[in-house]
Amino acid sequence: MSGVRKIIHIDMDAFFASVEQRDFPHLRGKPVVVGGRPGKRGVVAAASYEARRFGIHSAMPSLQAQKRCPHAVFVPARFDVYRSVSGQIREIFLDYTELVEPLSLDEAYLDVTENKKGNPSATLIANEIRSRIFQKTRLTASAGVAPNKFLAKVASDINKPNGIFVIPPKRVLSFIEQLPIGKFHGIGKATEKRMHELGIYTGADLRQRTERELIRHFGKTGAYYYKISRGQDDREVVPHRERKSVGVEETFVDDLETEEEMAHILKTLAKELERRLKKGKLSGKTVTLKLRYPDFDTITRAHTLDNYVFKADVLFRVAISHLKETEALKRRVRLLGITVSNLERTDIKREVQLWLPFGQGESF
Amino acid sequence: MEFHVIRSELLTELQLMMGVIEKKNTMPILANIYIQAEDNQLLLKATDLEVGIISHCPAQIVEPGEITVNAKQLQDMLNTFSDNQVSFSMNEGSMLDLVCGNASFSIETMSTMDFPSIPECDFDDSITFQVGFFNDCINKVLFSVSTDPHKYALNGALMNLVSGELSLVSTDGHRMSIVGREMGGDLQDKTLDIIIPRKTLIELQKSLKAEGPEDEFKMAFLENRIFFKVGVRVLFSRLIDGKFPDYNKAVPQSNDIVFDLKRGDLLNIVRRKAVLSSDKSKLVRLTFSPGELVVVLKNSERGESVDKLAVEYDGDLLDVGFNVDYLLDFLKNMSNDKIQIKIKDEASQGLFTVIDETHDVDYKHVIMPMRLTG
Repeated sequence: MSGVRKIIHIDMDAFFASVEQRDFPHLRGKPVVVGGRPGKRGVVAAASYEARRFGIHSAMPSLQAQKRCPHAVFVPARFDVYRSVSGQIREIFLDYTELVEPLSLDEAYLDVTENKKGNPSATLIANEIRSRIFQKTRLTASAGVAPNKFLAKVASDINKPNGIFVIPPKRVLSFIEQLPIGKFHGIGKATEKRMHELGIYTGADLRQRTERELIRHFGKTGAYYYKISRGQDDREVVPHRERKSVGVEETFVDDLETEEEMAHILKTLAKELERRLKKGKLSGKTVTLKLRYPDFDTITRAHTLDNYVFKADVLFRVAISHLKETEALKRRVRLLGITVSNLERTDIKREVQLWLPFGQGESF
Repeated sequence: MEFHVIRSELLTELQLMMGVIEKKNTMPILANIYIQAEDNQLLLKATDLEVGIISHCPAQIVEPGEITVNAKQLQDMLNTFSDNQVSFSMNEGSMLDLVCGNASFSIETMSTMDFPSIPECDFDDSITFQVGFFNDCINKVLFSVSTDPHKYALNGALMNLVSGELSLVSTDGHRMSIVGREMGGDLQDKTLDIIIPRKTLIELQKSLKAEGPEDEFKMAFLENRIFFKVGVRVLFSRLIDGKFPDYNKAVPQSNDIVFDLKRGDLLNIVRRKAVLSSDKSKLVRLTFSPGELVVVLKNSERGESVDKLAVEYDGDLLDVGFNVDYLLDFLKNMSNDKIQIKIKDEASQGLFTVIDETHDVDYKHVIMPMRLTG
């Protein structure tokens, strides 16, 4: 791609919680937590801004959230509603460009370098989109406008909620220089700590390091850090993201103790997974068991099969054989999940190598 | 211990032994080579407990002795020297000194006490084969030996000897190679039914290539081991203790559609298909119609390759698919100019043979088709 691109990152503000506050007026102005109830050891799916002030964030155990904010209101997630709102927003995006890459229900990248409105200003487009989203859904969104995906994503966070931030091409380098290292997309808490240990606190510090040095410390991602510290990110906005995996998991009210209990759950999960794979017309080669011990230690065990599978009995068989390799019975289990990856469409024809007919029951 | 050797002679032996040196470093002693200096020669041994080589190298012995040293290091050191005369001597302590001209190395050694004991075979009761013939047999079966560790019995080639008729067979479940030859002579009353591991065949081939094609080598057995005496070297190996499938069942009997082709022509065509193939797209479609063979590989992500070839055929339209890698392996590993393909239908195994004017060996290669499934 030649020339400077114009990328917008749109991120809905506290999406799930805002939908709840919109639909249930009594929740407005209150700390709302969407997700499992604290008594039932669920996990926070989303928190309203009022709740975030208490340090509540998504993926936190609900029990912990309640401790931080005892008067928080817990409401169950209504994914059907969120999905339909997400669809309304997507319609708006598609008025401007076909290059829309959704990252989840509540955020997406848009490439408006060339757009259907012929509008040369990405900033004007971003603001128009935000106001149309509000008119249509009564929900607010934040936007980041920049020459690439990495910067657009960082930018949308800066004036959140209900704000916009623009990084014009000529200000890319100065913007990165002052950016704290923890704000870089892809640098989490652990990497941030490593960076600090190496004396890297800002984008400017990062830019002084050689590519070799970064690769030595961070492996392959080191090369990525080297590029983004220079404002380089060539990743394109990909309109249709193919699914990489399909998975199901469940967290339990009481820890599972016996093999029978675990087998029973895995059977149910395998059936649900088969249903989802069939619906998506998918089958996969790699089956992964996810397991969380009561102390939150989480492990996965993956196995790649010779053939593409989707049937519940096969998924169950692989999952249960993985379970035997874990300390599940010794330590008990609070979460079980099965994921299928290495996917293949079942509605597309596939090459199959036949076996030589050595006779029945030949197992070598 | 002290001795002088010709560098190139020792390197030749080391080169042949490197293949059996344990590379995974599970036991440090297995990365070592055993050296014994005695009677104007070096006795050399290397093993990974599965396969091993015993060899000799002429040397001028000043003081006899025995030691083990890291084989890879020794090889690397010898390679850096420029003169051809190298002197070895143990210094005080456990270091071995190597001196070549003005250059020298000192390397750590390990006691021979830790080196695994190596079985000895006297070759009193042995079978003799011609080097060139057996090397050719290995060439024809090695590429279809399975490398899947879960198919243990297929990780080697079956060697079968019944009433003077020798067969070597390998398969990975999808394709199979069979070499056969009427041996006659003193092999008439010998019977064999063993599976020789793939690694052993590879190492044996290296030793065979160091000899002339007209030379002979010996094969003998002791307990569950096979021994080969090739020139000054003895190669030994464990045999695979498994049940090889009944391979005769998979040899097609009624493939009536027969084509003779030039191997080079088909090889070029299949090479063009390989350019566009990928993990998910390996199917080469052969479509036979009267007078013409069309060969196609379609890869939805990369593109399409089409070749047409005139053939003598006047039957119905026939369409059969094979894995591009399997076709390539067969065509690459043969040396004859002409091949013959016998086909029945799109779901039955194809029979691939070479047209051999000398009628030296009988060779059959069987490949199971690939199909498209929804």
